Amino acid sequence: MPGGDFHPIAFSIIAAWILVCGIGVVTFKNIVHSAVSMVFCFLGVAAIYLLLNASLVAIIQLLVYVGAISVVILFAIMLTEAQEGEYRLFFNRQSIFAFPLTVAVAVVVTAILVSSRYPQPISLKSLTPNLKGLATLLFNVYVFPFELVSLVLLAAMIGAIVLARREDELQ
Amino acid sequence: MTGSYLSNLLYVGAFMASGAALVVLILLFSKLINPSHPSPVKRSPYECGIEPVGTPWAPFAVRYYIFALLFLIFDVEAIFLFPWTITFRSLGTAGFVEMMIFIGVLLVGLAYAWRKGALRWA
Repeated sequence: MPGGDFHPIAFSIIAAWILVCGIGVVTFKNIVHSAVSMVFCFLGVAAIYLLLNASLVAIIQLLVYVGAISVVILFAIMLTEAQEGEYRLFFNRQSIFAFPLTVAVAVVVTAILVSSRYPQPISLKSLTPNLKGLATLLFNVYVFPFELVSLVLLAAMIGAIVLARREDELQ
Repeated sequence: MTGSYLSNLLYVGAFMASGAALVVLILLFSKLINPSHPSPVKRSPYECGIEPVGTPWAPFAVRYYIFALLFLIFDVEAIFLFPWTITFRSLGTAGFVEMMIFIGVLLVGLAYAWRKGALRWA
């Protein structure tokens, strides 16, 4: 369980924000509204990271999820064929399966959280990432995995181009 | 340290909240003081004086999607530049070469996209 530096009020506000936005994602009738609600959900998660003093992760969340992933998802929505001039809600069809599954996941996560033993209370001090230390590790000890990341990104880029071009030729 | 960190976050939160409040206020105020006499002609979207054709929900070409995907990949690349800039001085020449190799590999991908005509319009 979080230790002395935990801010229950700030956490509660952000958690409520994420919950409301998450419910918005699955209940909005218009799928574009759902996507926008998801972007606000991502913003809330970034705020949680900031609250945990993980500023680099928060920046990554903002840049990659709020900035890029949401654009990709919105583009994917706009690429799909419009049905009857509007995008209809498609989440509700699986709600019979989704609801018990969600409850089960929540129960399992809570059980793990409650039953876990921590060697010492987690405080902001232990969570504070030393950004300089992280960068030094990344560019000295883990330089080979770091360069491998560029190859993974290259593969993703070429794959995206090949797939998109094939789709383009099919149209 | 911890206290000042949270109060700094509160400042950021206050700025965001006041920005959002301003938007709501302006919209609310313009709704309150505007005279509203809608008619079908007034409610039609204005499109350079030409009557709008079709629905705004038309799907568009896959062509746009490739730009979104390329943006995503270069966004992830930019993430690695953040820790690099912090330690740039202490890393010296080795760090510079490492990052140049990293960017160089991704430039190969950009050259591939260019060569395949994925960046060309039309």
